[in-house]
Amino acid sequence: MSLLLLTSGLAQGMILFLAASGLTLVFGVMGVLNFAHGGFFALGAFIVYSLTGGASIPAWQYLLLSVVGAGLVGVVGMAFEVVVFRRIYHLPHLDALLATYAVLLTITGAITQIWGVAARGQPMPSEFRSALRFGDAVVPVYDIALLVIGGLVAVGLWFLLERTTFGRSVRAISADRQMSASLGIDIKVVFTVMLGLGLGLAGLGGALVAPLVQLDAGLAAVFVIQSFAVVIVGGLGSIAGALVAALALGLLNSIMVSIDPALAGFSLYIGMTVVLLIRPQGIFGHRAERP
Amino acid sequence: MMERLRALPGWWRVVAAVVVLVAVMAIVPIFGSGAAVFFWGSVAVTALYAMSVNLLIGVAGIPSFGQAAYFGIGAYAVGVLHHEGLPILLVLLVAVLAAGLAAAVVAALGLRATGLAFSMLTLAFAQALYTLVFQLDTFGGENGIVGLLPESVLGIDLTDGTSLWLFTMTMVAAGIGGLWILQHSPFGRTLMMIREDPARTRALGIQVRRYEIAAFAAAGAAAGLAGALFAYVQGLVVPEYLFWTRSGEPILMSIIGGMRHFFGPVVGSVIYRWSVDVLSDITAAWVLWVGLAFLVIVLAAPGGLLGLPAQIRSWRSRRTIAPPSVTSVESLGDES
Repeated sequence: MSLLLLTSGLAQGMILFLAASGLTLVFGVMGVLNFAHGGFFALGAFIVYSLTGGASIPAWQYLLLSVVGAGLVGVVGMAFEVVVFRRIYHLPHLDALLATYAVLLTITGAITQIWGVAARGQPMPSEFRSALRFGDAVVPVYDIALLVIGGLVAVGLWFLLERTTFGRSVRAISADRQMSASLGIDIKVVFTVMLGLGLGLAGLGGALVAPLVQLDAGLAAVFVIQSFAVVIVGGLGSIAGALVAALALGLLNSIMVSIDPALAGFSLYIGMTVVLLIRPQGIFGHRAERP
Repeated sequence: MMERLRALPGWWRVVAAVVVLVAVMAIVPIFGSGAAVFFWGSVAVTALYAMSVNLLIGVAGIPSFGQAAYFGIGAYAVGVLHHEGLPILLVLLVAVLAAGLAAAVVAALGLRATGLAFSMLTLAFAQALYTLVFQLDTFGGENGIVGLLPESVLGIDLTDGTSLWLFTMTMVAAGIGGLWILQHSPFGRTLMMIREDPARTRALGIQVRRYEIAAFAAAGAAAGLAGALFAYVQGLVVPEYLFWTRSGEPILMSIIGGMRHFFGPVVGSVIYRWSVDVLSDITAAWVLWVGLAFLVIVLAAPGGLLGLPAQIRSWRSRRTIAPPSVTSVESLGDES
């Protein structure tokens, strides 16, 4: 396998991971598969577009503004949690799915309302446009940047969940909601923060994808389904699973495209179908459903 | 005949439906413009599509989120076969069989999974199909297949809007009639039983999986008919017919109208398509308002529009009601 194939596959995988990590995080704690996730992903892309004014800016500024944009998306997400999502958690799976689908439509419409129908383009910072040479192989700098950022996010999430008091509360809640409440964990606050975090991650994913795609409201529907594929292959609720699945699917996609360009995008749905048929709980998932 | 009809629960609804159908078939072309005839033709087809989804989610409690696959198979069957010069009815038959068969296979493989996993499996299949059609030039790729103008059926000319409208409505009515018979047969009652309590139904010795596969195939066939008719009404097929949001739309319509009522999806699709038509003239961001309205319905009136009277009655009598849910039931007898 050529180096380019490897890095571009892994970089695609990291984008998938950024899109899916928040989704699996939210499912793990709240037990809701959130269609609206894609809406916040698209929102992140559009907010960063507005923050940069659609101009080509230095790479460090772009990364900084991406984080700011992700933060803004997280705040919007927390507001949504308080107003809407709170009413969804107790519903049966399908109803919850449909309610979040309604939110997805609402956000998609809001994006059209704010940014209009015409597609926008976010220029890639010039530093990211160059490529590094490794012998014969040429690797785009942005692919490397994505790998680094994705890695940082994965490590950050691991640290947050496994090494902090907040993370301990989160794990307690996902294990036993009632018991955690009776031990004095403020479930409402944790849920609000978690949804803010999960959707903020979606926003970050969107912001980092912005220079690679055409920006229109359709982004939401496309990326939410790709994220679904990743979290299902990885196992609903598992961050490690999402990382492994995202990288594997990204790599698989880039290999398949190198065989025949017409196979682009298939790896996701093939992976999703195979996993659901053979191991419905996903690679890293547990058998137990939410109560 | 009339005696047997009267013995059925809600027989007057059937009579009313036939009267409404005939009236609509006559009134639209007499008073409507060519554009209106075209618009309501596509609404009627959409209604049939929504009903096919409701057979799964509302009646049998099978959470399909990939019905666009079978709608798309029906549409693409027309796309591929139209230029072969086959009679229309034969093309429709092939479309229905292909969609029904594909649905049966997906259900047979997929019903090992339950609940959310099954929803995701149906979604994955539809998306894989979407990707396939989008990439392959055989199916016209991104641009789809155009120029699907039906010429005649059984010697009747279909080249003008009114005759195409009458043909479409006849076919839609046949599809809906088929679904009505299915739903009111012992088969349909068994599906409701499965929805209410799969474990108990299994304990009665009923092969739940087989019934579910059959329901999935029937719904797939109905969706295939809708897709094929849609291809003729629009005169083209494009990959978007298979995109996952097209699986969401009929569910949305069924919920707006009411999933516990046979004609709920019809009411829902008329309201949905009409309000989208009106809203999209006013604002490009019509999805915003549709989304908000849908959210309110799912959270506050999960029984849909036709479920409102029952919901209001239960508020008035201050009876404790089950927590609002699209998929929970009021009572079996309430269905019609």
